[in-house]
Amino acid sequence: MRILRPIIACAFLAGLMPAQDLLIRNARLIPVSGPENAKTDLLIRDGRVSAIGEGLKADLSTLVIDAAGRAVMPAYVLAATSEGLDRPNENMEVTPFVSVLDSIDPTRPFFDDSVRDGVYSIHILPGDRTVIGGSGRVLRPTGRVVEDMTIVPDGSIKISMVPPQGNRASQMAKLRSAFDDAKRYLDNKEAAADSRPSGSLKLDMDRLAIDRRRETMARLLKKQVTAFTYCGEPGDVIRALALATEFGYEQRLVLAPGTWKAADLIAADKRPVVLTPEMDVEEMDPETGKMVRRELPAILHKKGVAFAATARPTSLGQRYLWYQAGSLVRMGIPRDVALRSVTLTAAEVIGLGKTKGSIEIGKDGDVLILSDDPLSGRAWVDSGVIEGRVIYERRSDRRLTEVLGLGDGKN
Amino acid sequence: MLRRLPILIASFLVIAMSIAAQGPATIVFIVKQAYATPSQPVERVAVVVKAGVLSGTIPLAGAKSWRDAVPGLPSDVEVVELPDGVILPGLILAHSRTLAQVTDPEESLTPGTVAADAFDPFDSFKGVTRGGVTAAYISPGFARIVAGQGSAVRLAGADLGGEVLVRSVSLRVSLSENIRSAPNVFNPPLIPDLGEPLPAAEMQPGKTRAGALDALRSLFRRAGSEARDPKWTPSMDDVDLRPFARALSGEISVRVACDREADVAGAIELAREFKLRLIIEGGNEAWMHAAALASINASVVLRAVATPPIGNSAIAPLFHESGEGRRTAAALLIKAGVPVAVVPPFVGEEGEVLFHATRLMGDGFGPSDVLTSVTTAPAKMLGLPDGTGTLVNGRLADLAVYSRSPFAYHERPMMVVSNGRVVHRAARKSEVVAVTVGRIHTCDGDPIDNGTIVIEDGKIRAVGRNVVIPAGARRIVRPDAVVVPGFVDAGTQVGLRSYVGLGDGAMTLGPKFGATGTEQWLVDSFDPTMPDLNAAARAGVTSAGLTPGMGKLVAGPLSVVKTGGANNSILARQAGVMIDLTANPGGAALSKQLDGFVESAKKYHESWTQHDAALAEWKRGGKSSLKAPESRSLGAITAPKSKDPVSGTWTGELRLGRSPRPLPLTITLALEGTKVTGELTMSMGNRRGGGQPPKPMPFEGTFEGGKLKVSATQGETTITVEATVGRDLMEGTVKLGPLGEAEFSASRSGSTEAGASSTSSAETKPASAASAGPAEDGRPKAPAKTDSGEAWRPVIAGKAAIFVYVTGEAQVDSVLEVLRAKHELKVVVIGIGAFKQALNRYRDAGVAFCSGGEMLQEDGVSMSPADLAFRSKLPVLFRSGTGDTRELYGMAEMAVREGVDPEDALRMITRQPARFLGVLERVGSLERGKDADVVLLSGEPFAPGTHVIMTIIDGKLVEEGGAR
Repeated sequence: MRILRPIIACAFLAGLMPAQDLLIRNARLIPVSGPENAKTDLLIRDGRVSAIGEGLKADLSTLVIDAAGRAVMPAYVLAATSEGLDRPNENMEVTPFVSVLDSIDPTRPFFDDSVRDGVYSIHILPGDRTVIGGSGRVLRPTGRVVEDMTIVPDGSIKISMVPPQGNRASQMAKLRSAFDDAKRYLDNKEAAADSRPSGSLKLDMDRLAIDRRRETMARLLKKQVTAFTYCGEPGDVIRALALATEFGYEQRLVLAPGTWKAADLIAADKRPVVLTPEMDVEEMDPETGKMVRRELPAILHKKGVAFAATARPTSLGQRYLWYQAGSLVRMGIPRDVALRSVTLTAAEVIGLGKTKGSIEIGKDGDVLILSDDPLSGRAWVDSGVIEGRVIYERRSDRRLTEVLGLGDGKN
Repeated sequence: MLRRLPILIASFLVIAMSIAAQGPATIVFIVKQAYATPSQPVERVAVVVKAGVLSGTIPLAGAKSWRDAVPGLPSDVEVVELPDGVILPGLILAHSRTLAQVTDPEESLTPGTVAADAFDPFDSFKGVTRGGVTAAYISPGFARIVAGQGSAVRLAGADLGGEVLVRSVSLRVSLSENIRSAPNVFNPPLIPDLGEPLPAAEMQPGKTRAGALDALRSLFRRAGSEARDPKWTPSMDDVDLRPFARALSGEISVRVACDREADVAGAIELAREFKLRLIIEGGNEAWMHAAALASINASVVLRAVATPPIGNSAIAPLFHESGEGRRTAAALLIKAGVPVAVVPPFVGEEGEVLFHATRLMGDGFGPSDVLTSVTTAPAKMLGLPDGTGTLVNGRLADLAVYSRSPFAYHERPMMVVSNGRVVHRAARKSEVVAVTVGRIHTCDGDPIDNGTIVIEDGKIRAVGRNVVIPAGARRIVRPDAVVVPGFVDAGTQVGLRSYVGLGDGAMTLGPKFGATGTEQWLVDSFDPTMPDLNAAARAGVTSAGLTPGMGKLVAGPLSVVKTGGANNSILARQAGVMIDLTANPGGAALSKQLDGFVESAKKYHESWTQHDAALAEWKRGGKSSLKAPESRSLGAITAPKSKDPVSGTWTGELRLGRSPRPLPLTITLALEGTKVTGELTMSMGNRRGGGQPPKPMPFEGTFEGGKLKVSATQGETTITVEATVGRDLMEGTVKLGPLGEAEFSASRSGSTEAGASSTSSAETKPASAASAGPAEDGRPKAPAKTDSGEAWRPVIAGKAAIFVYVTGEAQVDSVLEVLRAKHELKVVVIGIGAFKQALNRYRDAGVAFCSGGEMLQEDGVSMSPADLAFRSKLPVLFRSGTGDTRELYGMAEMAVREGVDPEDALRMITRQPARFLGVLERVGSLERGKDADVVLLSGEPFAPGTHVIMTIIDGKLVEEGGAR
């Protein structure tokens, strides 16, 4: 199967090539990166946004969609999730050598839903109940095999500061032991490369051999991949930051709402962060004994931290990124920041800030044509576009038509 | 690498701190003593903390004022002056279980685990810091052979939490009983199948003492040979030997948890063999090896024993898993030269470390030993910098400030400074609140516009327009609001759980109690936590007269309680007496009865007044010139002359054993020749919980030559009474079978009617006491106290009123003639029977009227008796009676509707009830020195829409937003 995959991929790639230019006319454009435009045209050529402005000309081969009265915005970006996997967590605790590549099932309804909901960049990672979980990758929801879907392969690794069992001290001991091990492997290899016996061309092949089980950790230490570190408590943030500094790797924090007390440390780190789908928590204030609602995004926003909001596809409401953005607005966060958190900031967090997350000339043509404002509960994705190709039309969405009778867009 | 981490963590915390914490202002503590070191207390000293740094410990001896000795202070200095105050260095806890989120892992050997990694500095450590603890040891685990490395942390307070001081202090080893039950580890947890018939199990170290010691020896040996190289790192599957190597080099100590003598011996052996810095943790029986421990410079973290100081033999008499604790263990160890740090015996008592140290070290050791065991000794064991645990100038301050000697059991720090920040301040005893509102109705003169009430210590400190508001006072400014005194309900039944006469202990809400008589007091069933009190308080009712219901001539005593829910909510236990004339025919018989009550009560009152005077005289040094009257004469007052010396009803009390209350005793006798028959009634019911009303027991016996001997049998118990009878007084003993015997005395009252017995004064006569009269040293003997007498005293003294429920015109004469004209008591009439007819007579006699909100009907028109009474110049007060206390305001509102001036209506639910319940000196109006019972209304009282927005009782805010 492994051998077959590239062949299949090649076959599909031909079909995926953007064939047509796409012109969206009279759109209310929400580019996210800048101010809204009440009425303008948008041209996508060769899969990229090539022009924005009024009265753009279309040639005969151009597909034209009239978006009058509708909103056009960049496709949503889900910055971290463990959906689409056969199961989110490996049984063993330290498994940096596994990859979600082998675990993703493209036929899962999650991907179908993502197409319908306009989530066109999805960062899939192992779950939180682990110590070091393995590699994650960024995918688009369309394609028959994982290779087709992949945008960024194995660019991230999952670390959890929350122990699946035992306590945080043993969690740290396990993490540190894994990093010590990876460091020793790397040092060993570098030393072997340097200490070539003089006059001999023979290499110490044993020491130079690539140990596949240790390679991912080595790449992390070489800053070739980014760690996504899940923190459940404020103390976890301290340890996550200290560990990344100690072993010198690049890291994004994935924050549960309970970490709000560490907001100052998070702000001092100056990196954008990922929020879990739960963004607020009810806590008892130890001073007053009263239950207080702590809204992590509001606290982070005040401290100037950029964050990506995520969705949990298994729960009502929270399964939609637009709902999460709406929740942020309800917490008092400005609308543009809320929208960014599910598009541009999310793209930046996973290293796709230059190609995804906003509608700008030169960026990928991942756009959504919505029936209404994105934060309106009545907005539907009428058309979904990935790199200039219309991959979704609501009127031909069989599931909506058959299940809900909503397919033709006239209901 | 490992050592770089604390610096990193510290740097993160510094960032956080610079954002979270502002530099604290200068604080000067003026105290009697400051323990700069455990052995050197400095007397009369000023301790100065400037911007968190301990900048001086300045002796004040010779200085005129502390300001001369401490120059150059900024103007915003906080001065804490404690004439008896003592300052200790911040206490250090040598062991803790709950400060880090540590649970034991499955594996028995996890030396790489560091406790600091389970420590969340953002946690709240208030429970520990308020006990004066500023630093603590946290353990990496408890019930495994090698759990990891312990750490030292600072507990800086709730907003920032703490920080890690020393990441790796010691290698934590356990040799105690709990390691024997460690689980076997299966890793990875495979399910056996045909290809892999056995699960993959890790090699386990032995779990017996021998097995554990063997594992430890081999690990230390391996560490000595393999891990000497600082670059050595363990492979993924191997045990991390580096902590063992660091222990071998003496860099960290080895802390061995063990209690039993044999385990301690094993630890000593191990330490000797590998030259380890040994710390014994727990150490119940470590004292047995005190000399050996001293010889290897080991120290002991001693868990204070909780067992009482008796019955500890030298050898443990019982087998305990953790050995036998010994109160003198600390003393024995210190005597041998072993440093001892004391830790509390129980989880969750971390903040009580000084108490436990004091308790343990008490015998033969002084404050300096106690202090060493919780400051410098643990500081050394935790590897903290020199000087930690003492007061060092120039460092961030760690202090515990006590208002008196910290070594007294009940003392707790009033202030704790950790890392230069005040992390704990005991609740200030006096909080000053200033309430400024649009208008104040004081009910003591004209209303004050734009006035302020200053409340301090639960009392009104000032009321007026231009009052001084003390600095630091909490301000409540409501220009739209109107302040009135807390309402006083002249009669209600709130806050009662159940009461003696009722029988069932179930929670009973609402007023449903009948007459109690004077033996039973509703106030004894008062429970300040009852929810209806809060409801009343939020409706503005701050004081309530607890009143019994109807059903007896003397229905019972009144008491006044506060609705604030505090423990000391009983404002006045004796606040009047309720008389129920329902269905009483009135006339001469009633007059006689009433007169009898009052006369008897007057005698009781006089006997106590005279006694008090005599006692005062005696105390002044003079010999008692006034002889306290013999209380026996009281019994005779109401007793009519009887034909024979025995027949009639005798009432008295007897005191049984250590029973706090006398048991009432009633004997009804009939004499025929020498044969006596009758009934004996004795209430054995306990004080609180109901029980059936006492059942009379028929008895018989003889009366010969002045001696009475009767007996009654109930079940298996035979009660025998033997007494000498003469002049309406009976004295003797009651034999109560297995309960023993008690002396008693009783007096005869002529009437057998219910209620009469309650007024007859009876004498209490404990076995040892002689009859009333001066004792040998001349101290006047107190007359016997009786419930019935006590109930009447404030009435007789003219302080509180007698509340009379009048139902007919025939009763009016008796009430006015006896109670007003003859005895000049304060009388409050309740009930509207014959009200209009008697109104003018009431006015002429100076009687007050207490309304329950009832209306009079005349020709189909209803009118308010309160209004009629008010027009006739009677003092009027309101009571909710059997209704809801919250209706009190509505009753006064109704009076306003009938034409009463709002100011007067307000007094009907504040000043007037307070006056007739005898509590006007405490409540009922807003005057300097009175209780701070204040109600904030949304507008003028009795204006439409006005409601209570805030109730303050004894200076404490009850709840905002309560509605009428």
